[in-house]
Amino acid sequence: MIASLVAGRTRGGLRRATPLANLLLLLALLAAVLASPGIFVKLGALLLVLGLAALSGGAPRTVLRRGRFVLGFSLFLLLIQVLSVREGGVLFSIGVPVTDRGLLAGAEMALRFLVIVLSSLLFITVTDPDRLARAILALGIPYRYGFTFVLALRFVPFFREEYRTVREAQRVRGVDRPIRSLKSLRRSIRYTVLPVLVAGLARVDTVAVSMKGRGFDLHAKRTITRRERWHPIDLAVVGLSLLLVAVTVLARERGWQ
Amino acid sequence: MAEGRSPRKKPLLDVREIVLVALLASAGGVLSTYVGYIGNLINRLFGLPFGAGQLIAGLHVLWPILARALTGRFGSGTLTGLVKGAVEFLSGGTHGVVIVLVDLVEGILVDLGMGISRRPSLAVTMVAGAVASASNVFLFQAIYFTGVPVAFLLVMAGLSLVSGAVCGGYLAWDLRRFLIASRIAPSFDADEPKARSTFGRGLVGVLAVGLLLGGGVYYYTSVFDPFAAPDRAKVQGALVSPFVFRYSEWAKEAVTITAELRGTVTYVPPREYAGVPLALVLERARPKAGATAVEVIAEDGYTASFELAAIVGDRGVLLALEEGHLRLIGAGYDGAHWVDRVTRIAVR
Amino acid sequence: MPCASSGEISVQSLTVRYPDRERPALDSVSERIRPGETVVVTGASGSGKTTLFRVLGGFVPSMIRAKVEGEVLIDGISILTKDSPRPAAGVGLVQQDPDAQICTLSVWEEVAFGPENLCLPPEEVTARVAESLASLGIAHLAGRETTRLSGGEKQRVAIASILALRPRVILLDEPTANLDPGGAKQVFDLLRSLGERDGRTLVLAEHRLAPLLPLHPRLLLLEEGKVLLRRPSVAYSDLDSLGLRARWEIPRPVVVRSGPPALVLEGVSFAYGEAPLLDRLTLRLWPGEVLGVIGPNGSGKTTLLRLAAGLERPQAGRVLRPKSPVLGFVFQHPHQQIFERTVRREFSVEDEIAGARLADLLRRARLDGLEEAPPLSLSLGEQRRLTVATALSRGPNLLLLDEPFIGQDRENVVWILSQILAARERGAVTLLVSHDIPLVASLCDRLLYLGEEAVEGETAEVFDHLESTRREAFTPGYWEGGLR
Repeated sequence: MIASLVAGRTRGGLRRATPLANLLLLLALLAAVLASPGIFVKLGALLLVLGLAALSGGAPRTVLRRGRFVLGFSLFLLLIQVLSVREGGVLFSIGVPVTDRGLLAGAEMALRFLVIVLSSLLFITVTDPDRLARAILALGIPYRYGFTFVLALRFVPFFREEYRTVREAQRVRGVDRPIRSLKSLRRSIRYTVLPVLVAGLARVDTVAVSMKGRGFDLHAKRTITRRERWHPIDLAVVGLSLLLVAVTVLARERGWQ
Repeated sequence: MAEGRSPRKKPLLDVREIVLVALLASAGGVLSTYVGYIGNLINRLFGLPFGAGQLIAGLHVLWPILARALTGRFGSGTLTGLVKGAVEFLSGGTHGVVIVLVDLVEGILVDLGMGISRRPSLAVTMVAGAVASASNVFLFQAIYFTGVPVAFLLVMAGLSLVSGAVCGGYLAWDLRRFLIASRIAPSFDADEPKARSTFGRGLVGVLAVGLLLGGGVYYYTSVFDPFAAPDRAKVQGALVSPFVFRYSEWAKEAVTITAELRGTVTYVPPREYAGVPLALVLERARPKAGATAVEVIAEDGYTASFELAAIVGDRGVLLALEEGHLRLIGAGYDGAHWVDRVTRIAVR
Repeated sequence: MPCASSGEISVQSLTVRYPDRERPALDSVSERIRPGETVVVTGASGSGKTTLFRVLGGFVPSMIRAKVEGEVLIDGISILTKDSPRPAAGVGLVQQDPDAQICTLSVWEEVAFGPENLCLPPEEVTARVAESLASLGIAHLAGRETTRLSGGEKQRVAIASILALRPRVILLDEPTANLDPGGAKQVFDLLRSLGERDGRTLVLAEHRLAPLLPLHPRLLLLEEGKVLLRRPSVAYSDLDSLGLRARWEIPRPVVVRSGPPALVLEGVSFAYGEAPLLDRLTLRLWPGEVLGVIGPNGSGKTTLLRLAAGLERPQAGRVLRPKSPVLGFVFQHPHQQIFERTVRREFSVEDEIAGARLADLLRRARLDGLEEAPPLSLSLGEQRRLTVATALSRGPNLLLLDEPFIGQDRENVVWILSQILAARERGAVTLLVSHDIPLVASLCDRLLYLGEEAVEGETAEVFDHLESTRREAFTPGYWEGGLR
């Protein structure tokens, strides 16, 4: 399912780190691009993500497949700022004056988007969902709720297959062109949501019986047999995350733009 | 096999409810592909690169609302939102990890909006859907569209609001009714006590959500500015040319004065302060005729008010840069007028 | 480990009523099952099998609400309490749907799920996982992702995860109903070893009895919630006299294979990702022909239907469909193609159908009087008739059926067959994907086996080939008791 996104089967780079360390790095990157002023820290974060991706076994296939969308949306974000920021020195005009401030603001937004999307894709490429689930369950949150996450991931392939079949059933019955009118849009939504919902509801009792029958929720705690062990590389990833946060804080204090 | 039962308090959700939440979150995460697809079709129809898709943004809040409506449990919306976001993120959704936050906020708003009544009315459900759905516009604005005209933002939020009411609230309510008529709605204990008069509770719910919505929009558009760069302040209000003040650009205008801070709790004896006179800043912005007051507003919404006429001639009121933040130095004014972390200057 | 003296089940005048249902799901059932016994419960769908198993497992009424009268004792202790089910009571339930009862992401975690919930120490958990997987011969699956298992593998993992609780009683509710014949045979083979070893009590629901007879089970026949018949032992010869063997006598008119064929696949190849599903497949079908498509799951049977329907394009080769194709497609699960709020509107999804024509369609589908009912409130059998009737409402010349018989009782199967035969009369080409080997054997003119290889030919020829290449699960003999 999610492993289908994995491009290379190498075990290098972040693939060796535990999911929690990688998650921390992802959050640090997120904080860096959201909280840092100007473009320098963001540019650094982008280079860091690209470097880590190269180190961890190449660009994920999904990034390449999404290339057009990712670039297109970045340009769109740039354009929006260029068109709406009026302050600063005018550089040239494209019908409306383009200012240096506008360009910088646009670059900021585009960089934000690039770092967020690329680091997210990198994260899911290097993370085994089973290990991630185990790590989250071991975090100490009540396991009944933590397990919601495991269950949801478990049923992704099922719902994907249901969705696909339902869309085919619509095509067979000639109701697959969704937006010729408001009425057909309404129909498309109902004809898609209802069967998928019903497929899910039909499973509630079986899943619950299967879990309760094997002692789920019998005790407040449960054994965790397999724990993620921390290795030097995990400390390195955590260190990198802390460094990123420190640089971001400094950049805010010192006004590095 | 000895069986020891740990004493437990009654949990928020029982196992079947947890399973239901997980399944709805999973289905919602998978169907976000469909919502994206339809959104793109609508955008293309209007010839827009993006935005018109907000017309069906309500489909994203459908799932937390369904969870909340089917289980009757406060909290199920939040959990559904969080897990749905995680599913979208981990299956490679286009927005990356940000979607977890967006879905979580939507889930929380669904729970808050639908309140603690087990069976909220249709109106409450629709309002909750509307508010939850519109929240995505503001979150995305904060992340990617700072500085975009407020009018644009409000149009988007409006679309999303309507969509959340219809594709979120109404559809969930209608689906639940249909599932019950088809005898396939999972039954939970919450179904047992028949809801008594729901009108009063519904009214309270609508009011609460309305207040929440109004307050949220006010706070968001007028006060909250989470990622404002620290050395900038917006100069706005009744001005001929509003602009963004940035200390580095004005540094050469800075003057040095001596002032004494007399606050109710703080006292700083006279010392030197360097900064840009507020009067110069207002000169550049050119207050409109009829403007009488200047408000200096901090990051957290704290506001100090000055008479415009008094400021214009006063070289003792400065915008200073301290530790990367703007601070208002008000020589001759009491401590309450010395505003730290200034983000906006508004002329009324 | 289980000892021979435990695992006794005593059911005393058990009556179970679900809310909103008029007829009780179980009606004064009394039965005593001795420790170590193997019992097969059979009966049509809706006869109360699943309810009986959910009561024995401790899930009704504690988790699934119902009104229960009578008493159920396991080793002398009542399980009809308000409390949640206790695996420590020594009962483990394996359910019908192998996919829906697996709730973690890897096989190891799945088998460890129960022991971890019981708070056993980690060493004990590890030991039990290894033991359970080994005893079912699936130790090699330990590191696999659960979502990538075949149906047969999933069901064996589900059984292993129950074994890890070391139950004294194992309940299996139609464990093979959702599996392909190969997967079903794996599970049946495993049950033999499960029953013969350890002296556990084994209670099974199953409607295909022949493969179970080597277990020497006691037989219990349920009908409408009541025990209709008990047999201390069953032999192959009893199956016919008890009406428990699917025997089909279906007229097969001679198909004239002349003139232009109605559906042609020429050197068609198709793959998802790297794994090829169909490799240079060539098929020619003439009007009135019924082609049975059999084989393990994931071998491309449904893909073949998608290609024939034009929902997928072949990556190599070509598909020639009838000049003006009118398509009738019946999907595996009725809910996948039920969209509307009422039965009447369901018929009008494509074109408005009303008045006498609608009345006629409803009467033929035996759905008269139900036109305003929500389709999803109908029984599974009625939903199936509805989907077949809507698929046939436009008089298709290309009829594609994906497992239409799953979960259907004999009466409904006969009705579906009559519809297929009527379509054949009109000259439609039919592709029928089914795991019901005896039925396919008597209905289809020709067979296509998709598996490690693709085999196409006259029905008898294909079965001979499969039997000689040791794929007996796909031959009627295995299911009818012709093989030992």
